[in-house]
Formats: sequence, structure tokens, C-alpha cells
Amino acid sequence: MAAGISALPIVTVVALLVGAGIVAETGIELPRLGIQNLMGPIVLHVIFGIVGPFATALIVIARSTSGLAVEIGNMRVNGELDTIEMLGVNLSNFLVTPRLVGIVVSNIALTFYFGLIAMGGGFAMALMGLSMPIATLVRMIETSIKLTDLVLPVLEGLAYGTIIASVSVYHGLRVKNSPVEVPRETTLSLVSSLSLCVVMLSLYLIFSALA
Amino acid sequence: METLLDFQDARIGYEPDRPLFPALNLRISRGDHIHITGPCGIGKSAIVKTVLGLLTLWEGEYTAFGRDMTAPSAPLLSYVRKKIGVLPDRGVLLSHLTVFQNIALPLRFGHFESLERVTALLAPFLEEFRLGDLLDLYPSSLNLDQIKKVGFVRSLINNPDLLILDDPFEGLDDEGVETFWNRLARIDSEKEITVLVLARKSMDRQSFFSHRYRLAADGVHEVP
Repeated sequence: MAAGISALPIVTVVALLVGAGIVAETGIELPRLGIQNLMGPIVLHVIFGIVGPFATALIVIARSTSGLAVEIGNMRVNGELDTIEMLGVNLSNFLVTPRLVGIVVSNIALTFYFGLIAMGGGFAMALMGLSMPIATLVRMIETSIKLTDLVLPVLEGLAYGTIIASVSVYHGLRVKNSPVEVPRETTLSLVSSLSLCVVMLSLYLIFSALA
Repeated sequence: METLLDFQDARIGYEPDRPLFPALNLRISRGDHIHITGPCGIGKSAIVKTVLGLLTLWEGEYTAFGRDMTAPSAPLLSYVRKKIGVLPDRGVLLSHLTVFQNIALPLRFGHFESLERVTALLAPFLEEFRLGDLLDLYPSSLNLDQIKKVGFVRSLINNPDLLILDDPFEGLDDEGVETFWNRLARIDSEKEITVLVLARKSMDRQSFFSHRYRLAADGVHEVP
């Protein structure tokens, strides 16, 4: 949980910029195509359904994957994991599950937070950059928002969080006895998390388009 | 006398084709105080890990507290480990926990005792091992002598049936050695805890031990 809270500043900055960028792009391009009335649902879908969850996952990968893999890998090298088991303490209950749950819950919360802040950045861009009355954008969002727009980031945050946490813990536990295995497994955990999240995003985009 | 641990022709090691002991025979009964000596790298810690089910028994038989440990289930491992207190080689404390949290670990997450109960059980050890000022510190702030003392208290706090000490005196200063022996003498007088000490060096106070063994590549040999 502490990892999630400490990620708030970077998520805030990224979300503000991403939200502003998306609203700037849609605010300029959609009127040229004559479909400015779709701005609300498009902004909502892109921020809450696609970019928000994935950008949050990238931030969590950058911040937490390496930290978790290094922590567990070093515990293995120092004999701490063996000691936990020797003392009759369940390794899964004491070490693995709390970290898995922590990352998954943090990721869901951060995904939702990202979406809200990105909308704030979008409003700021609409007001200051596009000279668009903020009430217009609010009305567009208000009339197009659906329950799925709010459920989707939770489900995506859950999926990305599960991937990131499982991969990190798996690679941390793969360390055997040598300290040189720790950076190797850490790099692998970063690459694996990133690859799996990209696969997850692609599958989501394909199947949501087909649905 | 009840047998606590019994190895019969046990093939012990990290890999099946390179055993440290091809056929280990060792029996430890309740009330025994066993001292096993052997040079570095011969496999003392591997025996400890096998006793606690961290290493696979490749061949032979091993029973702990009357249970067959050849292919132990998770509940059986938990049952056996909770009956054993262990001080690993180098002490090994969890670096992200404070001294108090380290000592409380087996009680809180193994026996699911309350914090109040842990505090009450810890109280008698605080003065004896001079831990009062250390409880809020992290292991990185401790020297090896203090780490070993914390590890020793952690191994004793749940009042185990069997106490395993892996090279307990390495890194201790004279006062630390005396503190350990004083506690072992009390254990000896109370006759409740069976003690297994594995060390690379022989010890002065041989009278404490009921059986002494020397480790060699072909197994353990009783020292008269």
C-alpha cells in the first residue's frame, strides 16, 4: 500500500499531462472531422478504458516490479526465506499474499485516480488551451458516461495489477543462492511484466472492438 | 524415551546425484543434548534444513516426532516446524523487521499469538540477553553478537520441544558465550527441551551433552 501512496505524485503529473494531451487532440481533430459531438464518449473511453489503466500499469511496473523482485531475491540470498519457513511461518501468508494484494489494490486505486486526475487535466486544457467552455465538456461527459466506463478501469487495474505482482514475486522467488541472480531476475521481471501488459492491452483492444 | 528425530540410511544433500551424506543414521530422543562437530562445508546446515523439511530426503527414512517425513505434506511440515526452535548459522534476522518483530515472528505468524502474549513471553529474556534497548532497531544496526542473541531468543520464545543451534557461538563475544551457556544450563536443569548443537569447533563444556558426534562424509560417528 505504501508503494501505491508514494506513487501518487508521479501518477498525478503523468495523468494531468496525458489528460490535457487527449483533450487537446480530440478538441482539435474531432471538429475537423465533423464529429465533435463524440468528444465526450471518446475522451471517457480513451482515458478510463485504454490509456489510464495502461499508463498506470507502466508507472507501477517502473516503480514496484524491480523493488519487489529485488526485495524477495535478496531475502533468498540472505537466507531470510529459508528462515521464515524454518520458523513454521507460512511463506505465502506472511510474504507473498500481502505483497500481491497490496500491488493489486494499489494498482486499481491508482488507475481510478489516474482517470480522475486526467479528466482534471483535460478540463484545464479545454478551458485554457482550447477556449472551450468547461460546461460544454462537462455536459458532453455527463451525457455519455455509462457504468462500464467506471467498471472497466477497475477490471483492467485488477488484471494489470495481478500480472505485475505475480511476475515480480515469481522472479524474486526464482533467485537461488547467488547475488548475481538478483539483477538478472529483476530485469526479467521488468521485461516480462511489460510484455504481458502489452499483450493484455492488445487482447483487450481486439476483443472490445469485436464485441 | 520418545524418539524425536530418526534418520535411517538417509541420503541428504542439495542434489540427488551429489549427496553430502549418502547414508546418515542418527537418532535423537527426548531429553538428549546432542553435539555434532564437523568442518565448514561438510553439511551441518544441510542436516538442519533436512530436519525442518527444507531439503528433500533423496533416499532412506526420516521421522520427526513420530511422523514420516519422507514426503511431508504442508500441514505436517507446519506441525514439525512449530515444535522446533532453530538458530540458523549467522543468526539470520529479517532485515525489514525490527528486533521485536523478528522475535515475535514465529509467535505472531506461526502460532497466531496476540501482541500482548508475545510481550509477556518476551519479558523474561529482555534483561538476560540485554535486548531492552534493541527492540526498535533493525538488524542492519546490530553486530553479529546481538544478531545471534536475538536469533537465540526467537528460537526459544515459543518453548520448543527441540532446540537446534547451528554454529551458535561463532561471532559471539565472551559475555555472549557466557549468556548462551547460562541459558543452556537452565534448559538442562528444567529437562524440558531437547538440544541439538551443530558446530565447527569442539566446546569446553562437554558435560552438558549426553551424546557427541563427529561428522564425516560417510555419516556421523559417536565420540566416546
